[in-house]
Amino acid sequence: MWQVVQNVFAQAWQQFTAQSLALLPNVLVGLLFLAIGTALAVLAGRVAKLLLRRSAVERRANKLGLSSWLERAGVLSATAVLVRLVQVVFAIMTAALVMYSLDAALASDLTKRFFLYLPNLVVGVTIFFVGILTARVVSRSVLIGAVNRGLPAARLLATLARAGIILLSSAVALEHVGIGRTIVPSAMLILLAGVTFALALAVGLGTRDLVGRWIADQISPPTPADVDADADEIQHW
Amino acid sequence: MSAPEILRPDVLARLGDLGHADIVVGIPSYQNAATIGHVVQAAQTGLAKYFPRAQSVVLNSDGGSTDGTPEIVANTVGPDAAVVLVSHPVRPIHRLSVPYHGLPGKGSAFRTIFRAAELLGAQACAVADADLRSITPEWIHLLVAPVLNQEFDYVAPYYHRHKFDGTITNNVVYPVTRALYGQQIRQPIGGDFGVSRALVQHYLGLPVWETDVARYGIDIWMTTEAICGGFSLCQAFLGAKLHDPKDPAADLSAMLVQVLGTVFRLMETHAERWLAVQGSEPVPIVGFRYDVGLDPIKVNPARMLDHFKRGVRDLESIWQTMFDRADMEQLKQAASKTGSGFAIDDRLWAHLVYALAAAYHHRVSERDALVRSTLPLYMGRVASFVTEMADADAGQVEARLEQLCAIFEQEKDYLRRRWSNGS
Repeated sequence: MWQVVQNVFAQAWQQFTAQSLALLPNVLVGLLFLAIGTALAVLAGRVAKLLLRRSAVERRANKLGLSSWLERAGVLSATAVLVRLVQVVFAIMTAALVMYSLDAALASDLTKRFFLYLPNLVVGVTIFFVGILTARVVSRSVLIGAVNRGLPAARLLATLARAGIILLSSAVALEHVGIGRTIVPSAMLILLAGVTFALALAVGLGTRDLVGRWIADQISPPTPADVDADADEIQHW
Repeated sequence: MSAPEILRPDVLARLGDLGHADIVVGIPSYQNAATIGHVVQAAQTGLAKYFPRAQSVVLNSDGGSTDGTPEIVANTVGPDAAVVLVSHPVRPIHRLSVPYHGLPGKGSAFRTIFRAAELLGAQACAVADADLRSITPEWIHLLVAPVLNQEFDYVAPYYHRHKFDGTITNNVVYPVTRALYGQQIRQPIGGDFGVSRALVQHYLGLPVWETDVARYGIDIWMTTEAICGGFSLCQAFLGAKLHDPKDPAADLSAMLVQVLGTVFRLMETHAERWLAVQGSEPVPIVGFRYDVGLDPIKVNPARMLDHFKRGVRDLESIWQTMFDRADMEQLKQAASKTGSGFAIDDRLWAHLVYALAAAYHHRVSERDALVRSTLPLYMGRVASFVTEMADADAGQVEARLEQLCAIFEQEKDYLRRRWSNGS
C-alpha cells in the first residue's frame, strides 16, 4: 500500500517537474516580455509627454476650445490623458506577448476572442467613463446651483444626481459588454422605482409646510409690512 | 482677409446717408421702455446745448426689446429749445435705432455703436445706459468735452451712489483693478463712458467680441484696455446715479462669472504689465463736484449671511482647491458668528479674491464653476460690509473703501506668488 502511494507521489512529482521545466523557458520569456513591456510603457509615456509638450498640445486644445470642454468633464490636462492612452496601448501589447510566450494556442484563441469582443468593450468602457465624468460635472453644478438658490439639501441633491448618472451609465455599459443582460435592466427598474417613490415621499413631506403656508396666505394674505420686512433692494452692479 | 461686416445692409445704408458725424452718443438697450425716452431726450438736449455746431447722432443699439423700446427712441422729440438752450443747434441731431447681432448682451450693443461711430468718422463717442433715471444733458457734455477739448481718450464716470449700491464694484472690481493696474478709476464698470476715435478703433481691432466681453464683461474690458493700451484717462463727475433696478430674476452668479471671468482673463493678457505695478495713482476728475441726497434702500444682511453659511457648509470641497488652509479656517470661524459679530476682514477678503484669480489662471478646476462657487463668499463679504457700515455716512464709507483698496495693494505680493506658483 505504502509502495503504491510512493509510486503515485513520485509520478506526480516527476510530471510536475518535467512540465514545469518544459514551461520554465516560456515563463522566463514571459517575465522578460513583462519587464521590457513595462519599461517601454514608462519610456513611451515620457517620450509622448515630451513630444506633446513640444508640439504645444495644451495650447492647441485651448485654441480649438477643447480645453474648456475637457475642463467641464474634469480633465484638466489633455497631455496627461494622451500619455495615459499611449501607456495603456503598450500595456495591452505586453499582455498579449506574455500570453503568447506562455501558450501560443491559448493566446491565439484569447486574442481572437478579445478582438471580437473589443468593440463592445470599448463602447462599454467609453460609456462608463463618459458617465463618470458627466456625473462629476453635473454633481458639481447641482451642488453650486443648489447652494446659490438657497436649497436646503444641496449636498444630498448633488449626491443623488451623481449616483443616478453613474448607475445609469453603469447599466448601459454592462448591457453593452453583455453582462447581466436581463438582471441589470430589472435591477435598474427596481432601483428607479424606489428612487421615484422616495423622491415623491420627500417632496410630499418636504412641501407640507409650503402648501400649508400657501393655503394660509389664501385665507389671510400677508400685509405689505410682512413683505417689506424681508425685502432687499441692494444693487450689486 | 478683412473682418466680416457686423452691421446690417440697411443700417449701413442709413449711416451712408448720414455720411459723417463729429459725435456719436450710443445707448445700448433691452426692454427699457420705461426710461429710454428720458435718456434719449437728455442726450439730444446735451448735444444741442453743448455742441450746437457739431454733427451729432444718437444711436440706440437694441437687443430685440418687445416692450416698444425702439419705437420710443424713434418717437422721442428733440429738445425744447425755448426752455433749455442758450444757443440753438445749427445742425439737426439724427436718431437711429438699430438691432445688434452677435452674442446677446451689452458688449454686442457696444460693438455696433463703435462700428457706427467708426464709419461715421466720429471724433468722440459717448455711451449711456438706457436704464438711467438721473441722466441730465450735462452728462453728455462731461463725457464728450474731455475727449474733444482736452485730448483725453477715455472718460470714466464718477458718481455719487448710495453706500450699498454697486457692492460688486466697491468690494471687488474697484479694489482689484486699482491694485492691478495702479489707476484709481472709481467706477470701472460704471456703464457710461466717453471714448476717443483712436480708442474706438483700438477696441474694434481686438478679437474679443465673441467672448464674455460681449455680455456683461464689456465695461471692465473697456476700462482695462484703455489703461493697458496707454490711453489718456480721466473721470467725469456726473452727480447721482439712479437707475432702474436690474432684473431680479437675473442670475447673479452668471453675471459674476462674466465680470470676474473677464477681469481674470484680462489679468492673463496683461500679466506682464500688472505684475510690475506697485501702488496706485489718482486719475483726474473733471466736472464740478457736489453732494447729492440719495434715497435709502432696504438691505437684508441676514439673508446674505445665510447664503454665506450654506456655502461654508456645502462648498468646502471646492473652496479647498483654491484657498489656503488658514483662510479656510477663518471662513469657518466667521460662519460660526451671527449678527454684528460676523465679519470677513479686508485681508482675508483680499486673499480670497486673489486666490480665486490664481486658481482661475491655473485652472485648478472648471473656471466658470470656480467663480460660481464663490457667490456665497461675495454675499458674506457684502453682509459684513453692510453690517459694519449700517450707520456710516457717504464720506465714512468712501474712507472705508480707501482702506480696503490699500489692503488690496499691500497684499499684491500674495497674488504675485500665487499667480506664479499656484500655491
